[in-house]
Amino acid sequence: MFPQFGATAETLSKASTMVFRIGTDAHLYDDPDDVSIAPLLDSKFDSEKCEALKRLLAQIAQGFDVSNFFPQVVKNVASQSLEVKKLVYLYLLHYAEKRPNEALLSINCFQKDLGDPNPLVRAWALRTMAGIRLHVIAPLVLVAVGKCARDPSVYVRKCAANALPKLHDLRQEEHTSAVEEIVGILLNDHSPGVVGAAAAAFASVCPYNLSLIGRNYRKLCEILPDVEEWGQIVLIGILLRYVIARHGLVKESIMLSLHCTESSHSEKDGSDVDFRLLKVPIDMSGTCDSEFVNMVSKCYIESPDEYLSRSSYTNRVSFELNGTHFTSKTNDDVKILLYCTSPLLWSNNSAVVLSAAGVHWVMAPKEDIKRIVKPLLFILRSSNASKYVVLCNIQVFAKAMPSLFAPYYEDLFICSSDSYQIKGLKLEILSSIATDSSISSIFKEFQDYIRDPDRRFAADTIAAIGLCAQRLPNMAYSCVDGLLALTKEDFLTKDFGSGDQEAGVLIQAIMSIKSIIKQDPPSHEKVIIQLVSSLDSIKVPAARAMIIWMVGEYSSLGEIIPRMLTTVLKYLAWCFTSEALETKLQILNTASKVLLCATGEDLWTFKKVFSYLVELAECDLNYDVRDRARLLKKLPSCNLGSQGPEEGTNGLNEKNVLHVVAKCIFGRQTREVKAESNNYRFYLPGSLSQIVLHAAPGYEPLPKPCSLPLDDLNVPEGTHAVEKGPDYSGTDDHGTSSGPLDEESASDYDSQHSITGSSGSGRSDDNEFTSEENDNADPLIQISDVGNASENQNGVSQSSPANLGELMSNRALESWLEEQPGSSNPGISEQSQVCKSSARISIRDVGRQVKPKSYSLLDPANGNGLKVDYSFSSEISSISPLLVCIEVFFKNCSSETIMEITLVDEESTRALDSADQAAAVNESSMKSYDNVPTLVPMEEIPSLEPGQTTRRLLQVRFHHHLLPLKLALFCNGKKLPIKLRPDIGYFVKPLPMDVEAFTDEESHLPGMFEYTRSCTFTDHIGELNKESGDGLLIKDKFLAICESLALKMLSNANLCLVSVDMPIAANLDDASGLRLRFSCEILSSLIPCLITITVQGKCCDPLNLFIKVNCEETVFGLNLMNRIVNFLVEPALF
Amino acid sequence: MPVAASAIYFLNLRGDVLINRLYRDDVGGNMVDAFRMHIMQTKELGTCPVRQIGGCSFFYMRISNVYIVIVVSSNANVACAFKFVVEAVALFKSYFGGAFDEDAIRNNFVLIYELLDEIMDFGYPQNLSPEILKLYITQEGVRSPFSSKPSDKPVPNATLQVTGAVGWRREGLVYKKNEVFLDIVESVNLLMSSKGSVLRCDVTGKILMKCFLSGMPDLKLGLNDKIGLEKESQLKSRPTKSGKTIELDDVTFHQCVNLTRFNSEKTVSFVPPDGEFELMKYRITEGVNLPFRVLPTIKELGRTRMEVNVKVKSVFGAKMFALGVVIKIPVPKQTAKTSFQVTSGRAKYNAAIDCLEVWEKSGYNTVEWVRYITKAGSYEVRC
Repeated sequence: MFPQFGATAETLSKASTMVFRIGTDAHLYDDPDDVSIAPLLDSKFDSEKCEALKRLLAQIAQGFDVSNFFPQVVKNVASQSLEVKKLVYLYLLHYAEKRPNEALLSINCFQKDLGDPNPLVRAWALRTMAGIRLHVIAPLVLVAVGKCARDPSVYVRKCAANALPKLHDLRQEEHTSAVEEIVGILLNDHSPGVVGAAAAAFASVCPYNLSLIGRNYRKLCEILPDVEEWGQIVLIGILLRYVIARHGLVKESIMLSLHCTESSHSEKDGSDVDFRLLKVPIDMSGTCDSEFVNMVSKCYIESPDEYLSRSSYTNRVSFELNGTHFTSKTNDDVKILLYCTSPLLWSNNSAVVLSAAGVHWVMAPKEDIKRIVKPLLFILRSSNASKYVVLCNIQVFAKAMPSLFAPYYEDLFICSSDSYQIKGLKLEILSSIATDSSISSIFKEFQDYIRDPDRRFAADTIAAIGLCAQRLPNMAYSCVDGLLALTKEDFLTKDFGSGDQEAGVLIQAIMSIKSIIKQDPPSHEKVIIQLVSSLDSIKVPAARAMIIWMVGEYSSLGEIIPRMLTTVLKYLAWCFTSEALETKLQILNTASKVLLCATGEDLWTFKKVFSYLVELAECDLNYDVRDRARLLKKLPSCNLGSQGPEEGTNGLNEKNVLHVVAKCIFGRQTREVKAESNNYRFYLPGSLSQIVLHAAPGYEPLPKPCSLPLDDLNVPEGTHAVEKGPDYSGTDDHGTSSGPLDEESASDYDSQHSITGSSGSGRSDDNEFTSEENDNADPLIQISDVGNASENQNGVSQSSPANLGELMSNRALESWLEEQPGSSNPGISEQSQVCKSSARISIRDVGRQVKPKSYSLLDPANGNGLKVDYSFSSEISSISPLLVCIEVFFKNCSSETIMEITLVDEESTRALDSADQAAAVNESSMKSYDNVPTLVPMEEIPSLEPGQTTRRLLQVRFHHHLLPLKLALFCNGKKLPIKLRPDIGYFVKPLPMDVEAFTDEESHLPGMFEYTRSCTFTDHIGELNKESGDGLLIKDKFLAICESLALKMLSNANLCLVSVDMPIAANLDDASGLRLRFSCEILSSLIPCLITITVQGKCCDPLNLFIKVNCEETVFGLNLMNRIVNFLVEPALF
Repeated sequence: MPVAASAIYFLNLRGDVLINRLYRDDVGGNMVDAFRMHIMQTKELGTCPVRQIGGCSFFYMRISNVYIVIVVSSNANVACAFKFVVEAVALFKSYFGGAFDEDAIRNNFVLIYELLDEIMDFGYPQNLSPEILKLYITQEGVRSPFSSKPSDKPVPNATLQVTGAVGWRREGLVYKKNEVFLDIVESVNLLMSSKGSVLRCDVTGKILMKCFLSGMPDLKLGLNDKIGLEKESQLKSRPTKSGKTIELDDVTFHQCVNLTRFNSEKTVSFVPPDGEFELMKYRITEGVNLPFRVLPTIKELGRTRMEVNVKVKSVFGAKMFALGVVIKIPVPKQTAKTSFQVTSGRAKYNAAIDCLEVWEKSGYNTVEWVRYITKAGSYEVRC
């Protein structure tokens, strides 16, 4: 005995049973709700929470909706226990999309977990956060992913790569470039695990951005064997696409086999010679079906649209590939790809083998393709399902190049365990790879198959025999003999009435015989005779119809058939009435065909039989037969001679016409239905489309050869771009010689400012600018030397780890965080190089120009002449900080007086639902504000005269800073639903502070709480042009920019301008370094929110703005930033 | 072109959903109903593993009494999906300790959910190696009260393992006794025609390895195949042909084997995962000695009776013996009664058998830590 055998697996499983407490959850699964779950969730013991969560999970698993527990479950996300956390994550992922508002409550917790020293916790947090997939948090996730992409842990970086497709799936255009940038970073990772995941991200995020691959092509090839198997599959596909787009198809590959022969005629240079040498042996051995291959390669490259347009033409448009689209196997990129994918043919993973085989199939020189054969055959031994997939792919390979698989026909013999589909595929492959040497053993196999109890399969086998005989004409005789024997044998068994299946076999046998005869009718005369003689015994209508068709078709063939025709026709006429429909039709056809070709003494007999048949048919029950009979009665009348009285009048001419028509219908051989494969469409090996044989959504053909221009690849990497930045701004127009001029103008500028600055009254009391009317029209500017603003900037960032200390455990993250500042934001680092020092100014008159934007709430057309506009007010509600003040203007545009206008909340009950609270509100504050109504009741307007305008102040509580609030407007007793759109810019109130306080506060909000974005700003251009055109007092360009920028900010958000920093050393035309600071605090929570805008670019051009928001409420901060970017980008209205 | 599965369902044979996990929101929840309606309730079940219904593709496999269905809404790599299912089932089995069936799923649904979360992310397959996953996906249930700080103990370990440079082996392993066990398991497959000629005969073998080694060892395996290292003769692929070299037709290797080196130097070198794994699989078609000869004869006795006589003769050496030989004889569907005459062993009638197979198992020990086992080949004889 061998006790060791099998012990390995058992011991392992025993060990795992002990460790993992397997199999104890069944009671939870079966009766998930026998205990009330709610109290368990609020329990203080982790064990009880776990049980509750498991019960919820069980209900999810069985398809029940348990989303009503959402708020309770979300609370537990902060649990210390990993176990609870994981279960909560599972629950969250399942329901987050249904309950977005509550899901947002968990975000801050994820943010905290992202800073956990344990990479597992970081990774899980990131995965869940990305998995929630709400549009609102997409920017947050993007920031987190960007951070995790630089994490020291491989696992976290991998999770970051996996999160990218989720982000991309939300389809937010504004993030695309950022996502692609992260893909680029991750593709460049040194760990193979990350590269694999990054490849998957690339394939779903930016599959066309092949230049990204170009940069790392070599490295990716080399890392390929070490990448995780799933990643390998994706990466192989990407690399193949890249090589094709970059270099085109390989001249020596099978894809261009037909082309080579065509193009070699036109080629006249020296390379022609060896080219032909290469070509000749292939043509001689006839290893591949070149037309077929040509079509396959065409299908691989053209998109579905092109395919459709091509197939709609009657003449096939020839494959346009000119010489420039070729590359040769000596190309290094091709070589390295083949070299790196060939070891993968030994992979344990059948999908990897298939992908690698696909690359070789498309790219490898013909002589090397054979190396894919054995691996492909080996993976036939995996599960039945994979076997099916592999066979589907082998089928195409084998059809295109039968010689590849020909020696291995034995591997494709059928096993009893194969499913019907697999058997069918194997048969098809066998019939396409059969050669003269192997056909005999294949036929022996087929004989076994014909006796298979599955008659469908037997019929398929017979069809395969027919195909084999067509491919190998030498075998036609023995095939036909075998099939004939079969028809007789089947006839014997048919008496037992084994039904449709058996009939199918017989029909297929006759069909195969028919197709073989078609190849070379004269040599198979005897076969036809034998079939006809067995007509009496064959009872299946379809089979009979086919034999009768053959009689008509080959009626004039050879010696014997014409002689037996009379007998056959008489027999057919005799049994006509008892035939099935299709046989009847076929008898009629045959009779007319025979009649048309008949000459001499038989003619009279045929005529009689024919008219007898027509008469019978004319009274047939089936209208098809009757119609056919009427048609035929007319047509061959010429051969019938002048019979009816009506014929005589028409004269000879018409008879001739009829004769020609009849000849055309029944005449000579029907045109060969050639190459039905032309209608096939092929898809890339390994794809789903190849298996279901139509383009599945998302199917992408190979890129057009050489579609990737060379220049794309010469784009320098990110670092180069950054280095170039300052260069570009420094030496644009003035060149190097303009140095002194710059200096001069700078000092000029300096003094000018100092003069005006000294006359100012300081910059401390300009915070209330919005409400304060300031008559001083001149700008008050004060220059204070703030030293190096950029230094300050960097100082803040570098000190971040220390400040982060209370929020995250920084020990593990220190190195990671340190490498991050500046480099992640090229704009800021650049700017810090450019401006050496800067001046700080204050603008005092801005407040006067601020005009809050007005939005339309109700159109006069919809409101019976009542027009309602609103604008956000900077006033602060005295009732509750949750309320936002809105000025509403009611105007009567109609000619009648409007009575009793009032605004109420649509669903006043909803105000009580604490769950609908904005995410910006934290839990504790949420409760205390529960009783705040959505809308403070507005003072009713008793009546509004035509043309009159009334103003009301509305205090509204928005439940969410992004979703519109539904209100109802009553006037004249009618109810009009309206929607009030929130503006996050007015969810804040100005927070006056000085610059020192600002920078100090800023330094407390680094890392997680800091967001940056860039946008362009064009408002100032109009302003500048207007002034230069007027020719009046020419304002300083910088001031104009500052003003327009500040104005824009202040008219769109309730902010406080803290400071304006101006660059001094830079030339007058270059606004780079201009920095505006704004501060505010969130109305509801009084959390400060700091905004810094840094300008870059030339004064007269559109400016690049870098907006930085520091805010503890991450969701709010991000949304505010997005809002700011949106209105800054909007062109100004003049 | 990865899998990008939109959802995975586990169904029992009646069509009840045991587990459902949605990875993407591009398929509706009623997809599983479509599967039940159009696949499970038709005869098509079990024939074609890829089906398209209403814009979605279903890839399904039956494993014991469970259907695993992957729903995909766009073009995907089908082979990859099936491989994923196979690997996932292997993973579940190694967690459950044996069977994977409906009961096992019920018992471990939480674990399955956790695993599904880990092994597939947004429809993309991830690492499925049980050795690694077991290090941080542990269904330890409720933590016992005395380990009061739950996050302390397992975490530092997991950190190391997950983040290691080699995906399948964690760093810092120490064993007192460094051991390697090598099992070579071969199975002989035969396809014989009704006329008694051998249509196809091959041996598929796999090398199973069990490692208890410290540190990060780099192992090299010598094979006596033609292309390989002839000098190392103590490791033989086939004991019956000792001394000679054998050509391995096909080989596939575990992920840990350095394929590039195999490509250039023809040596199998690898850093093994800890514990048990399948190092390589191979196939030999030349020079296979059949361990058995099977001679079936069928006589029809009248229209309602049939006699099947199967003679099995062993042709291996007297020192070896076979264990648990099973002979399956397919009978017509209408068979009502059977009677047996066996010279040795037991026989029973099972109506659900559809092919004639001979299962054989024989083993022998050569070296202390290398075993050759020939196992469970499938003999198929048509008659």
